[in-house]
Amino acid sequence: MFANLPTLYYQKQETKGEDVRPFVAVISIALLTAVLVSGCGQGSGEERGTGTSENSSIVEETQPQQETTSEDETTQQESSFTAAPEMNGGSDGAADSIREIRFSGHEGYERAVIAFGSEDAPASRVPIWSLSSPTGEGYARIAFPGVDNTSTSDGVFGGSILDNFYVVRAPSGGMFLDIFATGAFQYRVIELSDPGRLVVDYRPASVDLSFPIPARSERTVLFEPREGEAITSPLRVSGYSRNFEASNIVRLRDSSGNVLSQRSVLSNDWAENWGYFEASFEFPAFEGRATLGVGTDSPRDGLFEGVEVPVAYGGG
Amino acid sequence: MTGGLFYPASSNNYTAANRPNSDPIGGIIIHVAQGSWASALNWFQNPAAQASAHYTVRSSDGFVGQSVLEKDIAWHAGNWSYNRASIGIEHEGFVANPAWFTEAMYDSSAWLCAYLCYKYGIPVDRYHIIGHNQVPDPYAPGQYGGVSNHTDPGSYWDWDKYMAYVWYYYG
Repeated sequence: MFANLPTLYYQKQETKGEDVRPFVAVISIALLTAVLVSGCGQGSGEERGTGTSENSSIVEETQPQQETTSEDETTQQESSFTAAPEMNGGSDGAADSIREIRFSGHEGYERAVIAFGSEDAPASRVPIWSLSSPTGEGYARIAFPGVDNTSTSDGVFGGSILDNFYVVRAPSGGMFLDIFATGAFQYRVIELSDPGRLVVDYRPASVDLSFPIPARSERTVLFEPREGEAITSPLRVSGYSRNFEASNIVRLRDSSGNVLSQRSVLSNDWAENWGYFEASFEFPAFEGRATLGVGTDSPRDGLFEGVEVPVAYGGG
Repeated sequence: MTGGLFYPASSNNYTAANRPNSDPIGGIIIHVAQGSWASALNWFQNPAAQASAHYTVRSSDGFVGQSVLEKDIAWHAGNWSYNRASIGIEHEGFVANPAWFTEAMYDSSAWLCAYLCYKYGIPVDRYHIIGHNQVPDPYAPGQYGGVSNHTDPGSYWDWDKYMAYVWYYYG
């Protein structure tokens, strides 16, 4: 132990405005139609045909409904569920924090309500936000570039379609919120003011997801790669975590358990919020299946804690 | 040393012991938290954290927060043998940004370190006051920083200054 340190040390030395926004329920039929046609592969067959994008190079954007009604009153509006890959809204500088994220179940859909704060008080409006719901995936990511604090970092919705959420320190500033579903879904977004809240409704879609939902463990969420993916070197590894001292280990083992490659990567937070990480990971060719582990080795006893996904070699 | 307060870690995040009787305390491990002082102390109080350090030193004024009693075994080294035999001191800040390593923090941490060396008979040298990056990986001979190969306190940590201050207070 410490008696052994002289040798060990010398080997390691060098490493030393407005209160009320107007109601803007203007979503053109043409845009909505385009969205449903080119959307996520998450829409129901009845509404969007096969679920396969006919023009995937076009990034569609829609606008959310902006209302001043109460959360309950919005339940009367059933018209604008979508599978659009992107949406945005909000007001610049309207809020600097997330105060609360609530859940409620309704007939045919489930609701997450994000309440915002400004200078330690409820915000009157919703801050700038942009939502992305990648094609065929089981989550939506809402970026809030002007939000720096949150009173809640994760939670379980426990619904039939709304699963759980994470609030993450964004790599480019601000924070983002990932809302996971239990399967394919459509969504709608409604802005409420006084106080400022963003309502996100999910309803199930009767199609299958195109990709496995990102692997999740207690303190690590892995976005890239996904379970069963054929990987090539260098591999982009990304996700977020709350691992000790923001340190994450990426480790690839072959089918016999031998370590093929490993590296560590720091996330941009851990103790205050979920911290984002990404890394380029190089590894040698391997045969058959391998297992990629991303997480941390326990500061207590060294046992691995994190997510492990089976992967195949994709050549290269 | 500007004082300190006890912010007890969740009992889920350390091992109760009766050191130094149960396990001799033979060294001190210096960490950098990759985060703020308050967030580290708060996280150690979260039962889900599965990590802790005995002390955390604030950058702005050197104020010390204690999370785990010295008699207990904090989970900070990534090496169970080193956990059992050491006291972990976290420092607010980030390894890549030396601005966090203030004079106040060096001074306060060095005072604490000297006090612990005196109290437990730990030699004041770089063999017994080490960085987290010097803790052997128990599963990979030749690798350091504990099992996850942590790099803190990093190259910006001024060991010469720190040890000089420890000697000053120890003497």
